[in-house]
Amino acid sequence: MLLEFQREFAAAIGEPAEGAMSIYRNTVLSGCVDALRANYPVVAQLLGDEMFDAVAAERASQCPPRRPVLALYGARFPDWLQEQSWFGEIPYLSEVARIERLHIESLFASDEDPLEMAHVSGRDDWQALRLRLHPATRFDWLTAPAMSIWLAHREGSVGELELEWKAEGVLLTRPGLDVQPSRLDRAGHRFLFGIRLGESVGAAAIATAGLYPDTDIGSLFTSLANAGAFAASSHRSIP
Amino acid sequence: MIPAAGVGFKAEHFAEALAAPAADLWFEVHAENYMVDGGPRLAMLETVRSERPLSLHGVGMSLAGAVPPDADHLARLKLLVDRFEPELVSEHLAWSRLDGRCFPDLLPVPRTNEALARLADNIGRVQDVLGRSIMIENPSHYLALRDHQWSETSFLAELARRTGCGLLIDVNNVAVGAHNLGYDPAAWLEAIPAKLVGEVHLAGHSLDKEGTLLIDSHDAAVSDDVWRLYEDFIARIGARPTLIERDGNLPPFAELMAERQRAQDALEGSLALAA
Repeated sequence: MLLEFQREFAAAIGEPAEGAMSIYRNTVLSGCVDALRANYPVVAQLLGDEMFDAVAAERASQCPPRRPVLALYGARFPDWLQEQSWFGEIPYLSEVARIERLHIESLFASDEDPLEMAHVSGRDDWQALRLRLHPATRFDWLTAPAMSIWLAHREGSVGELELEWKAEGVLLTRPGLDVQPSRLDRAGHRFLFGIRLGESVGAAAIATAGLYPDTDIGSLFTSLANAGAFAASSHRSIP
Repeated sequence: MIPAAGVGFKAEHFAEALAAPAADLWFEVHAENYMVDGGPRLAMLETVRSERPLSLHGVGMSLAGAVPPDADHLARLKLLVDRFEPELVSEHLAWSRLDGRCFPDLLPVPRTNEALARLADNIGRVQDVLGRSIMIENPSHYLALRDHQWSETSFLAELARRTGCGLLIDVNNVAVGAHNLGYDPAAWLEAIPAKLVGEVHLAGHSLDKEGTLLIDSHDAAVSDDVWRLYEDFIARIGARPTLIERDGNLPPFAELMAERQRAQDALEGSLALAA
């Protein structure tokens, strides 16, 4: 009986309603829309409030939360945005959304000490040294200048934004309490990709240098480590 | 816990909340907002907890669901309870999960014998995992459901008897439900056994678009009628930890603290009478 009542009630919430049922319907829908807005604030700015409300409500009705932790709701929102027919009008939108998702993942990832350069400086066994990415490290390569757009909106400097239409890399790390966004170049992306795959530091460095011979691998590694990209407890050598 | 008045904690008020000098001030948070693996949000709560008593208020356990509580969700609540050692833990007499979908709302349930047995079982499971008793909050009402076999106050008291849980009485929810369904809020509160009440919630409400139904919107100051109901309730049952809840139209922290002071005055008046 209880289960049938709840299934009927849930179905009724899904339909436009008047009076009391509209209060439940609105609370459920606005809870989802507000969660998507909180998790995708720059997408909301880019679309404008009215458009975002409509887009988020459509998404929420197709893919309602599966967990009550709304801080993590909307994992596949970026992919879904890309599939929408109007998407061509704002071609960078889904990549901005992808950065916002990575930001949420980084923000709420497990706490762990980052690797400090002092832990590894002076070593000469780079071919054997394997590092693990810090749990809050997220990176990606984007075909649009989405990182520039996202950063400008976060910093409130959209007016000064002069876009060059080129691919960009994003790196998010959490060396202290807060998420630190950085731009990532192709060499940095290749290097981190190798580390994530389990390559040794030496192997990732050689592969990166082969692809991007102008890169100073030593300073690349130092800047990634200083950004907190690697976990402290990960440095181990292959026996 | 000292039966003082507390305030719902918001990250926007972090610095002021920590600096507030009020004696016996405590804070409550929604457990679900902290069910993440790590990061600054949990660090902030650690800091709050190191300074003040904490209450964890769950909104997503779906205790009135037709199935046992979600194991993953319960495990996450257990992690929070173990880590933050809150003075109070509470949940709602409501459901919010069905067939793999979660509803960010507190949905109503007909007070049948079946629902009573299900709720008692679910509350027992939660208490067993947490290793402590919890409190159950009365929901706000918008819809007159058929099929009730129990009055709400008897239903709450019977749940407490069967499970050993306490009651969190939200006076605003009583006022909202009384207005929307047409019952007497004072008589409702009168029927709640004093010894079962472990916490009281106060919040503001608003009228819906048609101007007929009150909504438990948590976006305004506590209304005068709710204050009167509260002050009478405390005069009868004695001092209980009392929370000022505000989720929308967040005012400056000082405004919440002014409301908190009104509740604190009522609690101290009741303690003075009892002494």
